[in-house]
Amino acid sequence: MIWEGIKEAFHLIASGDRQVLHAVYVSLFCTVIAIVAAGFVAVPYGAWLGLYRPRATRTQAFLLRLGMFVPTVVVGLIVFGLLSRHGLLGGLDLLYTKLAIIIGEFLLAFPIIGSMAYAATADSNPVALESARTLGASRWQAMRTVLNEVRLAIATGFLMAFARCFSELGVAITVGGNLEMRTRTLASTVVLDLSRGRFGTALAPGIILIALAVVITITALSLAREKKR
Amino acid sequence: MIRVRDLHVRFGEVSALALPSLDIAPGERVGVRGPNGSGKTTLLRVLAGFQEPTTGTVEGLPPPGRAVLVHQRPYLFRGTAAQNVSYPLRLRGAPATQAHEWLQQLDATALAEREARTLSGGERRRVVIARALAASPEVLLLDEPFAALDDEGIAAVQAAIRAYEGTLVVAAPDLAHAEGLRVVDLS
Repeated sequence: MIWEGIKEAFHLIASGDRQVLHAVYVSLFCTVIAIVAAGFVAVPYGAWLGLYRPRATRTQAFLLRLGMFVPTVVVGLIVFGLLSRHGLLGGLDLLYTKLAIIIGEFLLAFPIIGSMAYAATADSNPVALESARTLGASRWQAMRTVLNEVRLAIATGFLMAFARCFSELGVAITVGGNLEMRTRTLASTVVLDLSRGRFGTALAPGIILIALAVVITITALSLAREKKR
Repeated sequence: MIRVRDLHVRFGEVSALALPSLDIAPGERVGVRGPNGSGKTTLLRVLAGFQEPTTGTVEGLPPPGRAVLVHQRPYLFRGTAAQNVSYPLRLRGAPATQAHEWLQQLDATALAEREARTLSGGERRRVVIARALAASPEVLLLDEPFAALDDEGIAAVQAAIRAYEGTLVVAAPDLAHAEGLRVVDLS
């Protein structure tokens, strides 16, 4: 059964099955937008905490780390609560859209990228920040300079966030609704096809997810090697 | 005029610096001498605005970015030596090409295109001093500027210090290589 499933999965991928391709598109579209948006906010926020240690830094860093471990389905529930008809943002009618998935994945990515930015800058050589400041950089410019020094660690944070969002299921099903050719992602396709007993069809997105895991692992290892040099 | 009065810096129970009084006139050249742990680096950090005094007062410090501290263990950013020296130039909107002139002052033009991480300790020191001078500081604070330098490097730094016209504070365990400084002894 496994061998038959694998053959069918490769056939689906090779023949460019529309549903599989659309699931790849939805997964990529939502993930990329979510992590780019999260990066814009989380990188400066985490770096500000790490470098300038404002009030309640430890509490904020703890909350960031806590956010990394919140189950995706719980994040999905929170976003569902916000977007459902009686929720705070219910009037926007966003439930079961790609934007709803993006909002959920933003919340998944934010603590990962923010934590990495915080850890990387807090562990950076303090003389780097002081050198930038003493040479006339503003706090914001000095922060950008230090971020450039620790960019490999930040890139690793983006990779981790990408991996979590691309393969997550909780948000995609809870607020995406798993709607065919609209909000169905690779992970939610796997679950749906399995529940229908279509092992081979379920395996195709599974193989794509595994291939992505391989690419991300190799990239992360290369970044780690580059960091050591 | 920089005026330091009854300056004390403590880290917990440890007294890092005790200095009853110090006046530094604009353009003056001061050498701070003393053994390890006497507070030379702490004094420079106070003057650079990176260390708050525990007690006492420091008046007349220039605004941030006008007092440039060259650390005892200098840090170079990613990139080449020339890119490092052009950092303060870019911040001021000055042409980055001036970086080569500052490197030339430190007899370090040959290092211009070298990656910072490939430089030796002495080469790094010459580049960070060139970078500090490129910031055109009102006050230049040098923490052990002759450490790790060979004779050629010492001569280059001495020449650059001589050419610098602002207020200068040099800290070192002994000031054998520094000339023409009013000596403040912290021992």
